[in-house]
Amino acid sequence: MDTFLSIRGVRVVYPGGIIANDDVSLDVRRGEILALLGENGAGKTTLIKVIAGLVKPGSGELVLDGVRFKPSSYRDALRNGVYMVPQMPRFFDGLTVFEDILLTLRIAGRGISGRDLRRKVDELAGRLGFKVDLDSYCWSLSMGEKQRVELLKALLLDSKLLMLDEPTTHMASHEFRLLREMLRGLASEGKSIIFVTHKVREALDIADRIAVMRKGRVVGVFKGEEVDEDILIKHMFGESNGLAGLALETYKSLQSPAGKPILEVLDLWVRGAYGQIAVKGVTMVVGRGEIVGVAGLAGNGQRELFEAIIGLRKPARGRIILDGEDVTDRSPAHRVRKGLAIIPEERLGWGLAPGLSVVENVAFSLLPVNSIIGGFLVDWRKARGVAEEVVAMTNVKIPSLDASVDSLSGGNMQRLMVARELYKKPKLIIAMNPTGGLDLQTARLVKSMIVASSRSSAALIISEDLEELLEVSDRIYVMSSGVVKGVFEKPFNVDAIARAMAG
Amino acid sequence: MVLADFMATALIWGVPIILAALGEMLVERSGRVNLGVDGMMAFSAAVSVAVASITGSPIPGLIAGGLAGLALSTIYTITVVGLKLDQIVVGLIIALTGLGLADLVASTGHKIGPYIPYGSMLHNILVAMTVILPIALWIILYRTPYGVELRAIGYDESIARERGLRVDLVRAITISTGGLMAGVAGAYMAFVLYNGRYFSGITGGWGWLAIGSVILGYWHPVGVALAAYAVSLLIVTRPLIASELGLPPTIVPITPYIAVVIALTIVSIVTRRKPSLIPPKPL
Amino acid sequence: MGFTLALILGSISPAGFRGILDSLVWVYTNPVPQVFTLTLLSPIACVAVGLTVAYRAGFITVGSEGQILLGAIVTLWLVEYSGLNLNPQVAIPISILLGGFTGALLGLIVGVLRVYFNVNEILASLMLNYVILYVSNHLASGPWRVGPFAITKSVGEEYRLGPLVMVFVAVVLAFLCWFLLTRSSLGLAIKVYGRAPRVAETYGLNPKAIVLSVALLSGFTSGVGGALMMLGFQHSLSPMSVSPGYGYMGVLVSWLSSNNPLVVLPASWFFSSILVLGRSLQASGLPIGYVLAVQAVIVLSVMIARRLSGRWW
Repeated sequence: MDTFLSIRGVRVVYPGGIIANDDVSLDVRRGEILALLGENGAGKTTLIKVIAGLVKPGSGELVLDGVRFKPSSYRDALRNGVYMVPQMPRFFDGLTVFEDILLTLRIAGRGISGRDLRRKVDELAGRLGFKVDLDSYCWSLSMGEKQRVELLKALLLDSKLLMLDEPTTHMASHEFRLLREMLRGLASEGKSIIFVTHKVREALDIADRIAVMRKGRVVGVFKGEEVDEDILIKHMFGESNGLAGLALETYKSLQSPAGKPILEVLDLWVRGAYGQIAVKGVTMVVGRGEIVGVAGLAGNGQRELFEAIIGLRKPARGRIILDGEDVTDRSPAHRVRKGLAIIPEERLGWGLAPGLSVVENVAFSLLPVNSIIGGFLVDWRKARGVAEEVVAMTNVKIPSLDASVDSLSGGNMQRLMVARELYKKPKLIIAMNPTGGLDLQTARLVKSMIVASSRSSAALIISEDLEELLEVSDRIYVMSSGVVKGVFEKPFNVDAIARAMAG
Repeated sequence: MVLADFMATALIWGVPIILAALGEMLVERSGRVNLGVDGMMAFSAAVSVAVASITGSPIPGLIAGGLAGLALSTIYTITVVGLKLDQIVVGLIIALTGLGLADLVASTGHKIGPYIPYGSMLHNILVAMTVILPIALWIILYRTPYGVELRAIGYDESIARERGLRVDLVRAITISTGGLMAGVAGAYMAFVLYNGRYFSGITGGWGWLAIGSVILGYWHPVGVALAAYAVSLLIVTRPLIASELGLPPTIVPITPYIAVVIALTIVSIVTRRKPSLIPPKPL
Repeated sequence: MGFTLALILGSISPAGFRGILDSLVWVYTNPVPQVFTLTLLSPIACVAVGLTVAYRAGFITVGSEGQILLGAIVTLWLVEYSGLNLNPQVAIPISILLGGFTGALLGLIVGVLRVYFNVNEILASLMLNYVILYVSNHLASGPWRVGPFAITKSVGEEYRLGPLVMVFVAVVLAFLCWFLLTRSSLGLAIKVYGRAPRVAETYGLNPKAIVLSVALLSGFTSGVGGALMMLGFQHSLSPMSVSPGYGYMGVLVSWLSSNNPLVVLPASWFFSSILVLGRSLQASGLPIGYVLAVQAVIVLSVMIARRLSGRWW
């Protein structure tokens, strides 16, 4: 078996100094299934994005089938026979599935007639064990369905190198088996497959060889038969075993009973952007002093749940009770005034106003709650004082109070946001992916601040990062496909949680 | 029957609005809005009359008019697609510039010249376009890969770029086509409707009505054409409306404008309930 | 840069290049046109300051053209047609306020349409401009007509305003808007909403209130501008095929000033001087509509220049 793709010394550094790929070298052989194994943030997705032409490496080179390969774009990679199925595929909402597939094929330079396409799709879908309605619109597809369509496209394109990023996130076990058969079939035809996953058992099950990545590097490459779970896990996480993550000073070892709940979500049903139901009958409780986590992969209704709780989206059914008061029909302003602090997923554009200064960004959020700053008129002197306090709280690095918030790094923006919200001395903090894309130090700071302040209030954290939730939560709800699949108390059975997340 | 007469007249008078609206629809389908339509129409009207009076024939005038619209839309292309300036501001600037330039061109004295008579071959072709084009565009937009690509770009620019679709190129094409069509529309107004004469304010704000028609027609070629036609019908039936409602003739021109506002409101209300109708996202 | 371009283009008109140069000199050095400039400046500035606030909120209304006209109509009514023969001391401030009030109402319509029906404010406000235009034409040729020609009564001598008063009003409005934007909580809310509506909504700022307020405010200032226009130099109404254009000039000025109410004042002066320039050339054949185009081109060139310099620095 000879080498089909050769990766040499690839280095990718994201702005802010985060090293996603650190001198990665790897060989992918013809006709093999190579698993790329690692925990969240190890750099696996970045690596395949480089191969797919979506990310440009700072240095390093790729050699595809003996020829130097420098994909300038996704389209370029497609035409060279490289296809990537992303973890969270994005589609054009207004197109039908049929049109989208046609479009992708065209980009790849393949023409195909409508009728042929339909025939082939039926055939392939049958082989993979699912049905696809070609004429339905893309907006109505669930995340699982979107992944399946991507898989179909990959097969239709007959690519020479197929890369799948966590394809089983939304898949049932029998589908996985079919997928495995399919992939093995492809491999035997000489195609190369890179299978990205964080699930050890999966990797062992499906792959010929397993490459383990940790913190941006390849720390080991093993033959499938020659290795077992323990070795792999040890490589994935380094010497500290299990899910150690970061050593977080535990402020919360002893937990007093919750008492009257600060937030109750009762049988909530919420519609998403296109009228489809994203949250189905979810019930949750957050007690005083508690940190409750909501785990689950993105796209399972978390955003709609978040928006409903903060008041941006009106639920179709159900109630939301904040500090004893039914706020389901009340405005976000009312909720903020009642003591709700909000840390959204996106910094600029949701948590902070782009183009405005640091002071302004602190001031506006305090307008509904804080009369120190002013009623009709804004007392800027006091506002500046408050802003200084906020900035000091989390050591935000800013050139000046009047500097535009745009110029801050991601980490500093998050610090500013968190500090500002906590300054309000809220009754409940609701956060979505609060440590997304942050460097370790900032992530740690954010987590400890939330934990510390929850002593006097409470927190609901919705996050894709299971580790983080395991670290800080008292209780974890698992959401999948808009439903709560399970509630877990400490000590957490990680296995059970993972299974609930998978579906 | 009186109504049939009105409908036929509306078709003849509706040509500019329909053409301009179809052109703008293409632009909006690709994810941009060009507000300069009224200015492009006016400019082209003036230019085409001037060229026609110099050359003695409306045909070069018609061509020149189309090119005039194209020229202004090219400014838009360069500044909005190329330099990434704000599309709303640029569009409005083009509208105002077009109107002013039109007056300027007319001030050179070539304000009246040969025209295109009703019923002539050229005229019939242009009118036929208003029926052929919507159908053609329908087919292109929904049944050809180019149409699919165009619509995809209009739905989500970032996904389109990621996938490698040629967003800027497609937009340049649609904007230029829109300009061309607005140009033809303007020339038509001068040559056919006003007997080869240009005067200040010739467009009567019809360019804006065309833009409104795009929304009312919900960005579908046939819908837009019908909406534009309906607007034209309102304009043409002014005397009828005036006598039916007892309104003095000087105030009756407000009908199409008020109607468009009301119609926009209705469309907004109706589509809010059904989020499954996806519009492109130019705004 | 755009200015020179416009000059060159303008020379194809009968006035010729020489004519333009001469006028140029005349406008800027002679005191008589300066007075005129100040007069014309005020309505434009009034419109523009209100618009800066609206644009900061992301509410792109172009209805100032109609609002100005409405303000003018209402003022004329109060002074000449209402049958109340008011003392100028009283009539003038009242008409200004009345003009502002009606302008605000018109603006409110657009605001309501946007807030409650999600109707695009650009189109809606534009349509309304034409409606008011035709209303004005109707009044001038119909019910308010005096004599054989289609023209209304003129504002009586005692009610007319001089340039200083007009500029004063404009300056006051400018400061009010500036104050609102920089010092009030509504101003902060407007700024936040304009940059990121989702941020504003999430943290409890009321988007409906914000949009409606700016709709009212921009309508008010434009209406005031209209009142000033009627009392200051227009003095009567007659049918027009296109509206006077001050409203649109206000839109341009507002953009030129980067939506800063204080910068609007010098910018309006600049634009109104161009207008005076244009007027002076009218006799020699320069079409007055061209002035607006020139101004538009200038704004565009400034925008381009800003963008390019941003790239290279």
